[in-house]
Amino acid sequence: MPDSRMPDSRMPDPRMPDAGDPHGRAPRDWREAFAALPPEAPPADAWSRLSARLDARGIVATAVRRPVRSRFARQAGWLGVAAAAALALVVAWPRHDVPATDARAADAIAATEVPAIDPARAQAPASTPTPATTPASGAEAADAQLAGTRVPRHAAADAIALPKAIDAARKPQLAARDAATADDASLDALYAESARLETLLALARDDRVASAGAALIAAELDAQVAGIDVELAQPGLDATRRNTLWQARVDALRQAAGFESTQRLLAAQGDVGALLVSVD
Amino acid sequence: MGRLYRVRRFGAVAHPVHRMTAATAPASAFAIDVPAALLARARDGERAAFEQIYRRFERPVFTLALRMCGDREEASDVLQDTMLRLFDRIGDYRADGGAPFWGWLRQVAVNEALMRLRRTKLRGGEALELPDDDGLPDDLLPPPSAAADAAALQRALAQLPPATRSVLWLYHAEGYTHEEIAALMARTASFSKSQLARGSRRLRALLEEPVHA
Repeated sequence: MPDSRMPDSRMPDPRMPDAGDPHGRAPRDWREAFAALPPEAPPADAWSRLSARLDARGIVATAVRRPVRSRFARQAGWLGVAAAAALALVVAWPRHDVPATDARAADAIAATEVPAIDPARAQAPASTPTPATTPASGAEAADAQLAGTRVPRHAAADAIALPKAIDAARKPQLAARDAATADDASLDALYAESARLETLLALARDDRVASAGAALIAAELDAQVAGIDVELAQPGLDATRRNTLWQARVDALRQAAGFESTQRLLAAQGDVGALLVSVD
Repeated sequence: MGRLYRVRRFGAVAHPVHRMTAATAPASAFAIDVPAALLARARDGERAAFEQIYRRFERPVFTLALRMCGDREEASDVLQDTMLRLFDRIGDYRADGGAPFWGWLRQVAVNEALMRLRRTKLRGGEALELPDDDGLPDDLLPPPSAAADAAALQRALAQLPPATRSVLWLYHAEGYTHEEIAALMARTASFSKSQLARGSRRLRALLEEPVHA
């Protein structure tokens, strides 16, 4: 028989503020409990779907091609090879209207201010291989059309390297320009590139079947993009941080699109990997 | 040919948001800034500006829709419909009155979610609200400690009827008054109050239920 004078250590004392909650983590009210719930991420293809619906309704003039795979395209092996090869080419092709790193911010300014000649191309870092001569190819034109962006008016002139002396003389003037305008232009290019890559990714991805390793890599890349999106949703981001995050998002999407198009190419060639998984 | 396994793609890597706590959770969506220049570009029909606005608000809208509808697919549809309506009517929003953009957009999202719930009811789906037959007093106690477990709380919320869950969420999380909820749902303030009381009691009971292994 327990001693009725002694408190039962197993039962919470209702007079204590943290009764039944030894760690003191119980929310004070429902408002606090609900506020602590984590935000939810929408499906990765939500923007692509919305973009397609916007196109269908003609709300905005700059159309992005609808990312829908036809049944025929899925089944025709030769078409898959051609599409994957084209995608791989588009993804691998360096985008010179997008700043690759923060260090190229000044180049992005120059690209905005001097559309005829793109200094970023003349000063491409070693990590971004640039062909010595880059004529305005059909792939780049199609790429720009796919992304809903205009083809640069003087794309052919991009092949001409800007003399370093002229470039150096222009930079101080450009640096004096309104930084906000430059940030906006740089971000706009990143937004356009991000949309383009999301569309490519939707085209290239086949969720029906993948090797275990490929599914894991794809999931990791998706998680990487989702993590960046979480950071981008934070209020009060300064322009530099926002730019960096968008650049990281574009890089991650480029990796994902390149990876998926390579997978499709390998699958079309009969290399399906040692272990197959059917993905829900 | 290799063996076939079934996996869920997004289950492979934990999403960073699941590690968030109340202390690290992002501030209210009311703090999300929409610069006037961006709004002007969106009103002019610029796709990139639309996407910027979409990216800023996709998570708050989706989260709100998911809390109300309780289903990711429906929440995704609400997100789509909300954003389409936003793009249709972005010219109606006036920032000069001091109204925050999220307040305006949230109203659109809530209406879309409620319309979807009404359609579900018309199709003869599940009961939208808890029955008004228990006559019990209001639940004024604080939530049980299990409410600090986000997964447990989400599971319990998912078991409430959609209208009841919506009343709870709109009142507690979004800060709507009973009168505002009544207007949104085309019901009375008494309905909102009774659903809040019954929903709170039901939520408490669900959270206090022992977990069976």
